[in-house]
Amino acid sequence: MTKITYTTPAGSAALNSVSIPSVGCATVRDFVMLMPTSNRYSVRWSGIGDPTSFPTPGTSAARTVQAGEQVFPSKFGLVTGIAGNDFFAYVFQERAISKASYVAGDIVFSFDTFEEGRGCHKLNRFARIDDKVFFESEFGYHMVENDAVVDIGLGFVDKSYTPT
Amino acid sequence: MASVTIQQEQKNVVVNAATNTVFFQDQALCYNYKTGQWSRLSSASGKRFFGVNNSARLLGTIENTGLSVMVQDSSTALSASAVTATVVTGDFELNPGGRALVDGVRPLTDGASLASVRIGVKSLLSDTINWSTGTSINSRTGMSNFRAGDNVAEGRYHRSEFVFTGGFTTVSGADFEFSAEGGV
Amino acid sequence: MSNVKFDFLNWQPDIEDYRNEGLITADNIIHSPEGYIQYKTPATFITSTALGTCPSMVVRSIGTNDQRVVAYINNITAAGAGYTADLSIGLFSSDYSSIANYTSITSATVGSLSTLNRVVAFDVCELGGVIFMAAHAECQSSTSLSGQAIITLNATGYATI
Repeated sequence: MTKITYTTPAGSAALNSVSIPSVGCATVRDFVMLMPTSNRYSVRWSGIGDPTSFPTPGTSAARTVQAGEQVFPSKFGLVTGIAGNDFFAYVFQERAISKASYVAGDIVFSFDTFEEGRGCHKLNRFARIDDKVFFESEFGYHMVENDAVVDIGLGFVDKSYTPT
Repeated sequence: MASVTIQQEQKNVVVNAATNTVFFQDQALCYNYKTGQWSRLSSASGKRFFGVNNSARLLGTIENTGLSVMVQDSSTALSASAVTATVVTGDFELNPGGRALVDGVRPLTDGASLASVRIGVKSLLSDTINWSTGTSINSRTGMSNFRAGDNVAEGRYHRSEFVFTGGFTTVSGADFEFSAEGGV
Repeated sequence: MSNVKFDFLNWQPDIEDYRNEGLITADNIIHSPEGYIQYKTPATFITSTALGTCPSMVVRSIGTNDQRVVAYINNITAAGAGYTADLSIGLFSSDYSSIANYTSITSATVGSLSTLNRVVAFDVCELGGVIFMAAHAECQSSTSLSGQAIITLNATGYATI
């Protein structure tokens, strides 16, 4: 694999703002998906293949480039993380996990909530490697793989070292 | 105006794919996702974690001193500073239904840095553990012995503690030599 | 004389000691297929001295070369009845001795120099030749209970690789 080395930015103010204040971001297939502070129960994604473009969801400009947003049920808490890969993403709420699958068309992504109860209890308390995502819930430590949650800390460390 | 509380600083979960380990900053835990085994890094507790995808440098940490920061890459190189490591077994019965006298323990490690081995004994599971004096390793036998004077490791249930203050590459277990005794 | 071999496996502090057939302490070691390896820290710390007062910092790795992108609060400067603080995002040099910033955002007045100024969220990703970053900080406007409010700082955007 070719190693990518990032060059030192020349001077400050080299960040190009997208004017969507967010508390997290992830690459999902050909999109960048954000957790906007304007609605902490939602995610919003860029135009396809263009992380610099976030047209207003629901407009014809957004539909043209497949940009959009999804709002999740508030009963599962705030959106706290997005773990994306080249095929799909897991979207974590405080007490739930949904899978975002690319379906193209006007829908772009379909979201299926497969876990209600165990979620990522604090912002960005997860890490992804290949198809596995490790995360902390209010109950302990878990891994998601193949759309199923495995309690890796149950009987080991969940009770003695509960995440705070 | 009601008082408000700002959120805590983000605490990372980081993966080192080279060593198949996941590190959880909040409780300073380490999980090997290939072997399914846990451990804890108490010397890294309170530090901030970041990922290093390298088998020689396990984990990046940032240590606060007041309002300043120190950034570190943990290294497995033998020349790097060793952190005191401790392994304590649970309670086990060497002589099921009876008592046993531990003659010696030989830790299975390639390092010469074992500072001490102690044996704890109980007669009843509800007893408080009674620890022997820590002994060092005999350079010829590789054994820590518990025969001399008051340092006798005799009981129904045994537990052992190993403390490493220097460097080692791996430690995987220990051999126990013991004599079975009566049931009372 | 009898012998038994005990393997160091299954650190399970959740299990009561007397029922625990594994380990009750596995401290400063990391499990590998060959056994436990030791956790060490380098003999010489690298101190990031260019930052001055830095009450909060979160680092994320990016790229296959494990370069570190950092979001931090520093440059706390007296202003009016309190201070202003900067939320910055930058790229660590390979020896951690310096940070080259992508951006710095200066806050409104915050109440104190202390760790009541925090980076509460930070993540990075990459797509199509850019690094995308989102950082969010919260600061307390005043140390007095009656004057408390949360001041937020946010930097979300991209930089060209």
